[in-house]
Amino acid sequence: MKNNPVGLGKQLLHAGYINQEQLDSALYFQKTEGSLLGEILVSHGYMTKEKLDDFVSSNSSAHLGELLMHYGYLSADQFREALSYQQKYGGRLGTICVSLGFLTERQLENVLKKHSIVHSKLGDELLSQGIITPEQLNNALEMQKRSGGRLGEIFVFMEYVTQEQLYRILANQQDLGRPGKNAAPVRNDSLPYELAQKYKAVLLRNEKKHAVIGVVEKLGDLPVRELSGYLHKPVEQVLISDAEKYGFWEQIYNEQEAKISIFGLYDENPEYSAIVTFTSAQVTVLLGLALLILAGVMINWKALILGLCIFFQLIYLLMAMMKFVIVLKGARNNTQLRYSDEEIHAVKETDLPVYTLLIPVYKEKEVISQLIERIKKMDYPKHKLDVRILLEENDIETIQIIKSMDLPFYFTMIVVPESKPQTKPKACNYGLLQARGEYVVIYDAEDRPEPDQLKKAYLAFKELSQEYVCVQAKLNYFNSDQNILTKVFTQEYSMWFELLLVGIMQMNVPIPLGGTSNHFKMSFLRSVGGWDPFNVTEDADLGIRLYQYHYKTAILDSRTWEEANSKTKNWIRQRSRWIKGYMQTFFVHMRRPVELYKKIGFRGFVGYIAMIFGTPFLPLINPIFWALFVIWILTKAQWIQSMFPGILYYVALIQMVVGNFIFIYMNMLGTYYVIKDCARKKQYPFSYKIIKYGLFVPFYWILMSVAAYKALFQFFINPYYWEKTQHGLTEGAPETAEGMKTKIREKTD
Amino acid sequence: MHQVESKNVDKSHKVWNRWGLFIIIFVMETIYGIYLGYFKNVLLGDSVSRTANAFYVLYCKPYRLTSMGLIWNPLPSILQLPFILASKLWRPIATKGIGAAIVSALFAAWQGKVLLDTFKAFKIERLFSLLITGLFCFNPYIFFYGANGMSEMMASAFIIKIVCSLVLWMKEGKGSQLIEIGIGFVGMFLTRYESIPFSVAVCLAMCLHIFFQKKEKRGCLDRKKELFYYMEATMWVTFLPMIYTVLVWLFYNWMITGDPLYFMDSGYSISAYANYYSGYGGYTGALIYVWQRSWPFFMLIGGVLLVRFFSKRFLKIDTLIFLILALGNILFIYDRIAKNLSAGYVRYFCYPFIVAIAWLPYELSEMKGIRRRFSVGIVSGTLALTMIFFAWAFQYSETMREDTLLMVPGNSGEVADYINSNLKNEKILMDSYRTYYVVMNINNINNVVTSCNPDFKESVKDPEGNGIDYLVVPEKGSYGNMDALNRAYPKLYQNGADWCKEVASIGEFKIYKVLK
Repeated sequence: MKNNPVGLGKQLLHAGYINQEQLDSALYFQKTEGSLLGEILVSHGYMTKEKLDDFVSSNSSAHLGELLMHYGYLSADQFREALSYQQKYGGRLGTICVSLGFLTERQLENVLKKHSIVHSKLGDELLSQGIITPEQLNNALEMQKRSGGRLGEIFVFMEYVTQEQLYRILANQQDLGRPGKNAAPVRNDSLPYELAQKYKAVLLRNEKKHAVIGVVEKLGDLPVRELSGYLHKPVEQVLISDAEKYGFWEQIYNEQEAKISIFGLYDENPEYSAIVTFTSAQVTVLLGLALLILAGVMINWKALILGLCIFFQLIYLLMAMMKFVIVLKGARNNTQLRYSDEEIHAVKETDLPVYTLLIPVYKEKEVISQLIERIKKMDYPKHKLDVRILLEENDIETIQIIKSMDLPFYFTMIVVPESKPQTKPKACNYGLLQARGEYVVIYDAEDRPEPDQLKKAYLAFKELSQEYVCVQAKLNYFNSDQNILTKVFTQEYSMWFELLLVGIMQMNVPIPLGGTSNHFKMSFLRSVGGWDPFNVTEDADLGIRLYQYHYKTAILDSRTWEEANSKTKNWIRQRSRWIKGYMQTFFVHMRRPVELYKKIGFRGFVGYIAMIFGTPFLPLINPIFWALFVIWILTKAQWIQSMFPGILYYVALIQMVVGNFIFIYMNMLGTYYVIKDCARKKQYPFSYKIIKYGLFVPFYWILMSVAAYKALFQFFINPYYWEKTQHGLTEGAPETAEGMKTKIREKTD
Repeated sequence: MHQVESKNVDKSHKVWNRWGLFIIIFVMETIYGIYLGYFKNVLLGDSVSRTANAFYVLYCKPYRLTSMGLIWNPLPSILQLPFILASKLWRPIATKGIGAAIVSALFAAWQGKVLLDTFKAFKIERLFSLLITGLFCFNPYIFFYGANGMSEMMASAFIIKIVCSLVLWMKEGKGSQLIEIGIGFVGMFLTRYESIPFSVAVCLAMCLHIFFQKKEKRGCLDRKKELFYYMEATMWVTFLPMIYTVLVWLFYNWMITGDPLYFMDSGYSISAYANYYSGYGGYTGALIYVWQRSWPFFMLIGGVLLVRFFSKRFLKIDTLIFLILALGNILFIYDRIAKNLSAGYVRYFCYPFIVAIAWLPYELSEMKGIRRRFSVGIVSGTLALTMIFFAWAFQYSETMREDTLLMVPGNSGEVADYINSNLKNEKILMDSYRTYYVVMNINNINNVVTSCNPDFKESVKDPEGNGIDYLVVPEKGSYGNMDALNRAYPKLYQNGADWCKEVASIGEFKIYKVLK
């Protein structure tokens, strides 16, 4: 018996038993009467029953149902009933007939033994069924040779076959059924999540005598035994696609997965979760400090202020020195991972693994379509991409838009159940649970990653030692020219990614990661419990955890272009979230400072304090010192002078004069570096005219302080609240080098 | 891991070569400096004056950095502070110019290393590099200034650093080189005000380079406006550190004195000096004057131009760039002299020589093989001639020697000895403008009221009312006229005053007892 779904009518036609007119007529009656074709042919006298029986028994292409009727195991009515059941609920016809009691297992085995199935290769099967042409088969085989991957996925990617066609044939090849039209997962008494997750299996039918499970890959004997053992009955497997599996999975396990995405880290490693803002020990310490300050005020407020002044100056000194050293290191010794075009072209696509892209989206209808287009253009075999668009359940508008798009098969739309906290890291955790990739990267909706970034990340991971679990691409802004705010914002980012981050890497201190374009090894992410959904800068937090586990991060010379906030209020919202997140991160990891110190050593501890404590702390104290400075210039008040006695005065002076300048200068320098570097690669995203706007950085600092105080307020009142940044506020930006040239030409004329 | 920049490693340039030369120059300069100051008592006035500025910071109460004064650029004095501290254990470290000599020796050695590093970066043969660097660093003029504690060596070192970074930038176009130029200018501004005209020259040179270099234009989409913005951005990145330093300097002048241009306008400033400069005879006279003192420093420029001529590169744009760099400062000084706004010391005209030496690595890199050897021959010959000339000039040339004769005010030591012997417990008022060396040699500094003391002005106005017991007044003349006591009491030195009595006359100084 050939596994050939070509109809009985056509087979009879080809064999010469009937002519086309008879076939058409019989098909017409089959439509109207709903009877079996063989019955109609016989009843209308187009052929005799004996001839039909002969044909069926001798025909290698005969279907199982026909054979069972030929052997008398099945009546026509029973066959119809079994077929109807199969269409509704799926499964193999033989198993259905047995479960409905129409025949015994032995009888079925006898027929199957007599008419053994011959499986041909997928491509040949599709070809023989006329679904693809020889040319299409050749194209797909060539692509497979070039990029590797499964042929079936390639057929679907090239749109030669549909998912349904593919999986039907695959199911037949593996002697599995397919789910029927009415297939739905069993809600009550479904498989336990862990068991389902283990085998990627979904319970579709739980009959008295057997159960039907949907699987994405055929399970071996051991898993089948385990599942049967759990269900206390034999198990029939039906093959389902990833999309179908996701659809079923969502119906049964979404709440469970939502819980895991929220509490997974907390359950595994509660000490790393920001679900608790302050531990009782921290509250005690903070209260103690407050009491100490109060006592100081009452005993000798002058001495207290002097003491605080000294403390703050030390912080400034530490930060300024560190930043200076970091910048020098970043400027001179560049350890970014760079790959030439030749190296990228030389990558064997057959070696490339599946890459998961997590795209958390919330109310981003303006920009999401652009990102999707960009992902489609990425230089990576599409059948090896696992793109997961993470949507929030209450974001109806964006969900509708995504649904209305004709997304390629490698995109999966995932709707995260509505739950608190509603944060990006929670969505990413949710998306991570069923991700298939060996590597994973996050992109925000407005991101524009360079097309070859994934391949570069792959090369990086291949080249680096095992301890490198994260590769950070550089971020920058495509709308730098929009207004002063975007110009200065661009400079800040340029300094961070071109100078500071590179320098920090060389100092072997914890690195607070960027919000997007961090490429991870999937195994690492899963082993550390993903992101902290309660932390609004989950990236910074993950960077610290990564360091604590003695893993490393490398910087990749590849950019992702984002949209810089062009509206002040929007900017403050975004910045306040970042600062609040740093506050959270600081308190989370300082729950056991001694332990932390032991884990990360002196250098790491100092670096951690400088990065994570310094970042929110400085914008909070800056306004105090600015005010003091202004008052002193205007009044030369003695009480201010007394706050800076002796050598402290000179330390503060140097910091004010030199430290502030260095920050301003480095902003400008970082941007200069970026522009030159891009020009070297024949990219022209910004004009050099933005450099001088770095002089406005002091005003930028004022904004940062406003954001810092907002963050402080929210930190106590609403620590998990995710301040949504509005995107899509800029005019359209160029996509290509030519476009960018045009943009600069227009702006500079 | 992929390194971003492949390093041009010339294996023949070993690290010890460059540090070895550094150590040799440093040790030799230091020994020579100590020999000059301690054994031969050759203490140049401007050098000791800078040491004195540092001296006031750590010896005059209240201890504060402002005691250094705001007229002269502060860096030479700031760098001597550690030595001033050490002088509390042994005073000659300050008074015999030992600390100053060490500082200038350090810069002399550093500039040698910078030169060698630059030669290495341009892949010039080790022998040529060492030869040229040696001929420069051991040139008697350079060597002398590397040992005498004057700020010229610091300025020279910064100029060399700036020009070397500049020529490397012209070749490689790296951002880090712009930072080095910027930091070089910060150092130079904090050392000498000539950094300002020199920065204009460097700015012009950079703009020419950007405008005429195809490589630079390519990075700007071949658009003039973008090219302009690139020039502008490059200038910002390069000169912002210096601009900021100037602004800070102005700010501090303003905060402390109420006048942001105090360093230019005050009674001790360069402008105040101008009254005492003799007429140079306008532009023509100034030209002759300047030429007489500067021609030896042009020899190397001539050598470079000769090389360019023979290698048929004379008409290239970088010839103009070279000339702008080499002559920019001297033209500015010439202009000032012609307007009687500046003195015309020989050392003011040495900049062309320094710029030319720093240019050489770039110059030689433009040639290979026999051409390079020929060029090395020309420039080495020029350097050797310069060397011979100065070796002769320091002994026999009145003009060239004049700078070396400007010592600390004569008899300062005797005045200090007198005070230490006879007036050790008395409160003495003196303007350190002329008596700086006296102050440095007084044992009981706490009894001295000098320019850096907060009550100096009041004490000058009313010596008796402020408890002053004695005054030290220098002779009126070109420098003595600027002394605060001479300005407050113009007839005091010649005729005395009824409120005080002359008790001693030592050289150009008179000591008066305040009558109470």
